[in-house]
Amino acid sequence: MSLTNILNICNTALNVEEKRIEISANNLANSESTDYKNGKFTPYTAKIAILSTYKKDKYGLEGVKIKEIVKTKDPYKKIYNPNHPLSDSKGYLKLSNVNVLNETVNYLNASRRYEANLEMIKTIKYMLLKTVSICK
Amino acid sequence: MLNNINDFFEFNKIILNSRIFKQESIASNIANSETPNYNRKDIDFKDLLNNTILSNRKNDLTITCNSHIKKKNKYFNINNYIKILEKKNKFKKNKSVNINEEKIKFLKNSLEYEIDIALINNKIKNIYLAIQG
Repeated sequence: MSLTNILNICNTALNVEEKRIEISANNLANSESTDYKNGKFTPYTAKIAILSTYKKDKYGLEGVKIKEIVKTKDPYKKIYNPNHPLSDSKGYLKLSNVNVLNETVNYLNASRRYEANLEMIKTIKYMLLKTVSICK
Repeated sequence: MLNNINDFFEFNKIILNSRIFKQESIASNIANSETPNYNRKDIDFKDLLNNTILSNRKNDLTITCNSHIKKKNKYFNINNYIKILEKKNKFKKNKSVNINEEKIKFLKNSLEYEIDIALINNKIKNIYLAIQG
């Protein structure tokens, strides 16, 4: 129970939001790319972060962390393109399942949350300074 | 005399501590606003304070009639207060987190904290005046 503990909580949140922005950027950048594994070309699968609570203190208050980064279960997009070297026998080409609109919204959401946490840190800093100024 | 001055600030100490505690619970809520299965945590300030005061008012003397004079303890004890927090975990559990609401509460709480600090400063000024005469 101290103001510095609140700063720690904000810190965990900032880390998480940063990572989420990174994941969204990664997804957007790779929205047209393919993975090459074991001699096979597979379309890129979008990733998403799953959050969980982190470091409970004795009063039951906690920060946040990324529990794991998983691949989404959305189906791959299929387009008819018989000229492409990677298309199947019927002429269909599998494309990655990144939903550009979804990723953009996720990115905006994460950046807003980042801002909210930054503002909290500012408030806490102000409160700490006020506390120091007692008796002045 | 110094003991008296200490007691003079005991209540302010409790208030500031509970404000910080509330601030921490709100920060935790905002940080976890997107965590699945997270329960929003909040402390009931009024209830907490009432509980602390009541727990400190108990004394060893048995009172058999209402008109008996009740012995009042001098002031609140911060250790006692923290024990109550740990024991009862006075969280109102509520499922969803509304980030706007939390931010406003956060701001309000920080302003109230500043008011409390202004009160302490005034108290200190009063003591100075009393010393200087």
